[in-house]
Amino acid sequence: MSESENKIDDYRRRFLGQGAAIAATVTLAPGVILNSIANAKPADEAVSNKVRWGFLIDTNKCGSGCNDCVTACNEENGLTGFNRPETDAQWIRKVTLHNKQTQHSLSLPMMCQHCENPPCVDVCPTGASFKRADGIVLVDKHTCIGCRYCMMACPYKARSFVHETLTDQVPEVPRGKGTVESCTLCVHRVDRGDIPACAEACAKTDGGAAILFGDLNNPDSDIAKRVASESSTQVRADFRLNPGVRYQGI
Amino acid sequence: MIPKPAQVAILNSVRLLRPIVLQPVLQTVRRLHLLKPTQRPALLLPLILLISTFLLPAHAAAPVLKPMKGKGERCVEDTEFMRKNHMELLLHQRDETVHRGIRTKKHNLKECISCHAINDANGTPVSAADPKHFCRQCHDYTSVKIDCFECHSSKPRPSSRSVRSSSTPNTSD
Repeated sequence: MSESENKIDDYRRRFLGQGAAIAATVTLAPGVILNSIANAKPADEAVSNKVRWGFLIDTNKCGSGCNDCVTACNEENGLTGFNRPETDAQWIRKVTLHNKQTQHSLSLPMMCQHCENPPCVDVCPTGASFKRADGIVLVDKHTCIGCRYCMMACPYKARSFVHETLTDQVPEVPRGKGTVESCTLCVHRVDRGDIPACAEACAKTDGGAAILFGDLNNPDSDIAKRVASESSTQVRADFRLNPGVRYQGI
Repeated sequence: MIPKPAQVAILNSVRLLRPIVLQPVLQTVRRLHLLKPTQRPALLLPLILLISTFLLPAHAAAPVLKPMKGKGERCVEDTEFMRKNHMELLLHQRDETVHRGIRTKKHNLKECISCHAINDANGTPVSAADPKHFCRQCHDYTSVKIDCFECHSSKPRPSSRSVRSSSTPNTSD
């Protein structure tokens, strides 16, 4: 195919894409703009391993004083603290790295890295810690016995244990005493075609979207295009866990 | 029919006496074959009458549960079927949702909760902590503990938040 044909195809694709976007906006209620992923799966269809959800986090855009992703996560998942920072649930946290030689500081969000080979799944004695076909690592709280082996195994310190009796949970995010939990990649939102709450909140900040969510397996997705064209790293890649969360600028 | 306290007291004493009275009656029935065939009906008839007087009030005294109907026109399954099998449906759906990401609305606990929500005097839905809660009415009656609500929300999301979630497209049912 010649280069000019390529350009025409590209133009057509963009035009059709815009048309689809306009059509989608029109069908919604006025004033409601959705931050959705294209081609949300039907509710009766099982998740497939053709998809690999992941984050690309650009630490250059991540503000050191900004905590919006953490606030959004707590709000979305109903994570209310008991004023006990040692044990309160923490699905996402801001980490500051400081290089003593250069005095360079950077800030980044740290959460469950949704590994391809998750150690938390390896050690779970009941099979409660599992990886969904689309790469999201979850805890099935119906079978979790609260032994906390997974918390020990996770090199990213991503998991929390619920120590207190909880009330007024968010209907879509069941949580309860005696079980381990962590970032679900907002699985309830992803299943209906929305992006995770932290990524949505991050996109609204002044610094711009530092957290990009998408399907790493889909070559047409923004995230796949960016990881293909720009340099990015996994935290502790030497463990060969192949996390679905990648960072830039660290 | 709700029995009055005096009636309840009488019925309770009748219930306590039942084994004491029934024992000799049953023994008589067992020895019926020793009697002449012509004598049997004569003995049986008063016996049947006696037994029925003890059985009937016990049935009348059992409280009849009338849990409130859901908001929808009809339940996703027949009421009789749901009474017996709702836990099986929820168990099946739970694994489908958690492990396979299937979020159909038909046997979804969240949908059950929002359809069967019961409001208190202020018009806000009650949680499972309240004996008026739809699930609790029967579970209290049968003394079956509900584990679901240790993690799951027992009432629908307040309307201010449900507006946001209802703006998302429902791809299918």
